[in-house]
Amino acid sequence: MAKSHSKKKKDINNSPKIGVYVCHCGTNIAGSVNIREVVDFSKTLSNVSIVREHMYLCSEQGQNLIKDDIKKEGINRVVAACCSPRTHEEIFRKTLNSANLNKYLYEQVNIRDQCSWPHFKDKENATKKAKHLIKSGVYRASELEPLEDRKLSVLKSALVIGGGISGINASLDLARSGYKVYLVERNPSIGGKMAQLDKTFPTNDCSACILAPMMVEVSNTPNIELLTYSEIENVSGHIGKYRILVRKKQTSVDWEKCNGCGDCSIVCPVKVDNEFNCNMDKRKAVYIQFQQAIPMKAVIDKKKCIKCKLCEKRCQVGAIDITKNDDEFIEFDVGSIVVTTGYDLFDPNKKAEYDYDHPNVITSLELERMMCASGPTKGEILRPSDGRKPKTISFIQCVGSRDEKTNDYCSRICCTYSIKHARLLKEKYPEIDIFIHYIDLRCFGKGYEEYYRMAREKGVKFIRGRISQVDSIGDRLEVSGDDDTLGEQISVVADLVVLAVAMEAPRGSKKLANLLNISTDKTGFFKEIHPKLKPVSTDSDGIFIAGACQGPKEIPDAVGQGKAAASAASSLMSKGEIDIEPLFAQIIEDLCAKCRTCESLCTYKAIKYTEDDKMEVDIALCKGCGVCSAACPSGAIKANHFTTKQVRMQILALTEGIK
Amino acid sequence: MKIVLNNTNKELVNKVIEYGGKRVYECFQCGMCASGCPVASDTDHKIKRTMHQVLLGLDEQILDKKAIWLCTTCFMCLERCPQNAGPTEVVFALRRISAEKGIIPEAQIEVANNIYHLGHAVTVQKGIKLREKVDAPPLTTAGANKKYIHEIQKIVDSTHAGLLLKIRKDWKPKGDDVIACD
Amino acid sequence: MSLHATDYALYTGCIIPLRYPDIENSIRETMSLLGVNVYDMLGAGCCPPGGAFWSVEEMSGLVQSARNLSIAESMSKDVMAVCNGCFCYLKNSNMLLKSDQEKREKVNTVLNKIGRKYQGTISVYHLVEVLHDHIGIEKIKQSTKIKLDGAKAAVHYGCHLLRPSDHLMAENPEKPHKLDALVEALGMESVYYPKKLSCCGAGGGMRGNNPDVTLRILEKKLMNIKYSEPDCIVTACPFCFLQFDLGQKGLRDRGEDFCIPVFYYNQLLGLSMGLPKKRIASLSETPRDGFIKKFYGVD
Repeated sequence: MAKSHSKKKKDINNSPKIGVYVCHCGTNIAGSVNIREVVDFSKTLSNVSIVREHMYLCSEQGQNLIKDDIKKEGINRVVAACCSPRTHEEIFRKTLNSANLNKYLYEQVNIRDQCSWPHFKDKENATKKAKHLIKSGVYRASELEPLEDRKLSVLKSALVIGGGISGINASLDLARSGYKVYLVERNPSIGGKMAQLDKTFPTNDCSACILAPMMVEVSNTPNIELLTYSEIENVSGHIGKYRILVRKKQTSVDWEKCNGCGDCSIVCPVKVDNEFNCNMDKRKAVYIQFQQAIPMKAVIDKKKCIKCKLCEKRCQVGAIDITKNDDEFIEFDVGSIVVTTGYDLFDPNKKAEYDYDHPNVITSLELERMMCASGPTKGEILRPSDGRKPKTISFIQCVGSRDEKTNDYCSRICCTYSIKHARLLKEKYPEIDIFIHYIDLRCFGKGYEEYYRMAREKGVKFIRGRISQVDSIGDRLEVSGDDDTLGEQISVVADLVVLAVAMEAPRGSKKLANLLNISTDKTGFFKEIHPKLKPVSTDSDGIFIAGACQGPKEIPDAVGQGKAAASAASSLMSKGEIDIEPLFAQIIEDLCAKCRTCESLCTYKAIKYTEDDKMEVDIALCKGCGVCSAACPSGAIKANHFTTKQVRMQILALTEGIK
Repeated sequence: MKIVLNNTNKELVNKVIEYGGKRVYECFQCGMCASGCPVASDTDHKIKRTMHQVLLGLDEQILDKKAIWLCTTCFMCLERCPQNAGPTEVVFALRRISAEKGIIPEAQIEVANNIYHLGHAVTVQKGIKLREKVDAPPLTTAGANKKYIHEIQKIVDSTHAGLLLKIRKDWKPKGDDVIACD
Repeated sequence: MSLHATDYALYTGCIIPLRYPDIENSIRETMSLLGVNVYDMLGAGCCPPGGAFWSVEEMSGLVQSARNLSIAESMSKDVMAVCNGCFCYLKNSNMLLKSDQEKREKVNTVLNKIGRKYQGTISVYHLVEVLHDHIGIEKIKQSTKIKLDGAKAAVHYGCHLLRPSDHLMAENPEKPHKLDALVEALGMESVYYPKKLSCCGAGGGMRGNNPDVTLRILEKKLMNIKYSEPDCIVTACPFCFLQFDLGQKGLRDRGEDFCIPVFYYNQLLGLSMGLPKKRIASLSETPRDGFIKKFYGVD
């Protein structure tokens, strides 16, 4: 572990000569902050020797302004009053670096997000606040110290959590780049939701036909260690070296021996709802998840098994031992983590008005399974109540989407998948009357608009207006709604009602988020660090998210994100080491009494008492939050870049007020 | 009134296609047609609704009402329709279907009878007087000579228009015109 | 100079020869002064327009159009239509029959009964195209003696000169300029007004069926025209002309104040060439004498 120490550079010997740079950001700042006034005010502050303004400070021209002042005017501290350090701090730090000034002698004041934007209606006070913040930045800058980045070694291996289409792509890309990949999947087989689909929009490719070869490639890639029927039990460590504990659930089947022949299932007398077919038919207590499963191995459902041992007797390779009960635990280290845990579907029982209890009210995924040749009806569309072919089908869109009572967001895929269903049904059964009740049709992807047009051409009827309720009338269903274009109430008497249910964050995502120390948004999906610029990064460095676990998305986007996350993880691991900011806590040993107050308070478990009677900070884990420093009774912990003196100066500046 | 969308006229849309509204299926009810329609705000002719009614097979709501005859055929909707669904062509198709059911407004009957009996959409005698007044050369078009009118009658008689437009042998044109007949 | 022919078969339609023969005179005489020869299409009947025959059966419209086209074919001359409706339906029929062999054969079976045949050998032009594209603005400018300096004209293109554009291909249907250019060639200013391309309210059988609605649509059109306070309305369609002329009278009869002089383009062109008002611009219900006196100095 790198030891913390600071090297004094010659620039600190000079007394502070501060340059203040005020950015207009076009009219973003200048529109409501009086730049002239702010510039004049900044000139009055002590240690400030140059104040400049610029239309776009982050432009090359703007950066050169700062560089020239450092080189020619001897500026040794820089305060930029502009936008958010989140997006621009790195840029300006590099500016200082290229002018041979230590990059930590830079302070950024956000007078856009904190002044001009929120107070755009009150120019006077926006300007006043900008002055306050700049004063505070200047006072702090006077106390800044040069710091050096640290190197941290990074293991060249990755964990991918979730074996759906996004995780498969991330794993394959990482493995192809030469990294060792652990792919952990909760179900017996990889494939995810895509394995349950019949056809995929917008080209109507058979889902299995395009997915299965990738699944096979996963199992044939030596770099990928496939851990299915497994869950993440614990994660510790930090970027570059995470320690992972995986619980491999007990299958009671020795997968080394199992050849996937399926004889065990044939003899098993216990019938259980088949989750893969949305519980529309039965599987056995010992089963192979589906026909193209990877790995093609049997699993004993321990909760349902009656221990009759018929399977054990039948198995010709002697793979089954039903006395095996204990889960297996596997531990390994990885340099980075990619989370691709997918999604779950909205529970339509929560919209009771759609009468999901009725056998002929089904979800889209249930219809998808029915349409699939390997599904419960072998590809035939039949009313679950009596097995008769429906004459009229109504699709109800946005069930659990765009609804403040359930999920306020759009699930993005439902419009196009219902169109897909309608089209495929019309192609197979042109005589069936199909209605799609929508509120907006959001066919946003490449080729989707054409896909929608073809559905219209096939005579699918699109009715704009939410459906109020579904009622059972004899052996049929009355769908009551509104037709926006007609301006009238309408009703459809249907034989089958298909609910286009929303995509939701997968069950267990909160728990996983806690294990990984990453955030979820208010909808429960994992949160990216920046919605536009860092779509697969999380607030834990080295952990990336991809696919539907980040938010509803269709296959092309999930694949794209899986590949993006693989690329982000690769670029992190490729050098074998990374620079980390020295913004961590430092123990001043002479002052430390080893009371261990800090150890108990640290959220990140970054401070530990060592065997040689010392408190040690793990700089990879430390986030520099400063809790330890504030709590230390003997003032023995220095929070780099946020020293007591630096913070006090800021407080002083803010409490002194401005002229 | 609640509209039940089952058991509507499924043949309507095919008939509209057959009668000239070839791209009616393309309509996705964006409203571009209605938004530029010159008659929409003054009449019951709501072209966006009509397009949708065709797709739903609600024939009674279209054909039993006179709204489709209120179109000025300005082609603005057809010109601007982002899906090239051809709303004006759909109106023509609906008029043709409606005419087969015997629904045809008086003005259409009058114009058709004028053309059939006089060779022109308007009466001729008044025109000849006006021509004299402004020193125009003698009329040479169909209205000038019975043999031309007979030609028109003959070709119109080879179509169904006579029946559809209620062309009558005993037609009496307005004003001082006389019917050209044998 | 245009590469186009200087001979055309003049298709007058119904309204011009039988309601506004002064317009017919203006067309014949101005074209002659511009060096273009127009020839009568003996026995030409109604085009027919969309309102009646096309509205009940495509074939009944098509055979009548084909008959008219066959008359021009027998003269070996392209058709010059002087009415938007005639232009639209004749050109549309011509295109349809040229491209659809089955329809052509059906039509010819009918035409055969009257000893005629459609062959698809000629083209259909609108008067505005002939003036703008074939004769040219410069030649028109040179042909006029009196410049209408200071006069403001509200140009009305009319629907069937422009739409459906993929059939008519006359010019940009959302930003036409030819008639404006022709009006400005006379020294007038073609003024902007809102919804310039909207319908006058006459077509499709509307004027005959719904006198009330037709006037309401016209009124809206006129309110937009009034916005720019023009001295006159200029059009190159006799049905739009009729709607503006008789329609304004209809509105005046209801106590509304609409009295904007209306001209068919060639009437103004003829007056600018010095042709006598009596022959070329004397029939209208909405008075135009004030305009003619003011800008041409003619009583």
